[in-house]
Amino acid sequence: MAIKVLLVDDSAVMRKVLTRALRQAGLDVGDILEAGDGSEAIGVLENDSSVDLILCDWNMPNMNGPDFVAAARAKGYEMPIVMVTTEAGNERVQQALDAGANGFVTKPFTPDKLGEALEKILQPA
Amino acid sequence: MTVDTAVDVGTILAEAFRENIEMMFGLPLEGPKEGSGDEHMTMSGMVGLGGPEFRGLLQIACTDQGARKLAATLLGGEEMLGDDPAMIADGLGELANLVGGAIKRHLDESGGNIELSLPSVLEGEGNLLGVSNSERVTLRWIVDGEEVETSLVYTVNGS
Repeated sequence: MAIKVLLVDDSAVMRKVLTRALRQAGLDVGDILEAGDGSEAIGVLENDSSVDLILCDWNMPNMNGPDFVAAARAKGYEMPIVMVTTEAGNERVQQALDAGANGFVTKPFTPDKLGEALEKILQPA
Repeated sequence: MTVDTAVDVGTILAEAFRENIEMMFGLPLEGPKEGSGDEHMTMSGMVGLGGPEFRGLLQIACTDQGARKLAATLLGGEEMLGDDPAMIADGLGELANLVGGAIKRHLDESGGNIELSLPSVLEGEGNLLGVSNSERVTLRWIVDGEEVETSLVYTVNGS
């Protein structure tokens, strides 16, 4: 069954790059929703909580990635959230995981690299 | 932190740009040669890097046509780009963000503890960055036939 994905990134170009990469990676992706920052993403989820997967940038205006992840978890949203970001240090990874993120993909990425990371996260336990 | 020479910073800048152009853009790349700050470049994507011992400003400068090619390539083709100038600027800003992130990763490996700013884009000729009491490395590239200059203006240990 096709999954519904929410892309959270302040760059419209990067949201389109992610959309193309998701399709090229061979994932069964259906609807793709977009938000330009964390607070906008919370609004998207409040309108449609049936999102199956969230890909989220780190550095964004208004509400950054880790703050969005923490806010989404505090509101009870349990879908996987994967950080897709230029941030890559162990400290950053731990900060994202502590906030409630499920995975981490470092930019730059290829569709294959993104797909491999997401398949692991989307596999049923 | 052990970044203390222009050679180190130049190498980091070159590796960061090459890594992103090859992986995210897949465009043929020639260079780098030493650049001089071409005043005929008309668009610049910029991002700041700040840490306890390193402060820098990255500038990626190109022509309008070069910026259009970079953005179109990221998006998967001219037809995806359309005529929206904001998307062209966004693409150049995202390239600056990607390269800045790669520089940050290199510097963090040697204890840089660097924070990255949000990217911004300047349009118009003569936007060559110059900051007093700072070092500067400028590298000139040919990206799929388009001239691109990458510059990093920086200070280390407050020097």
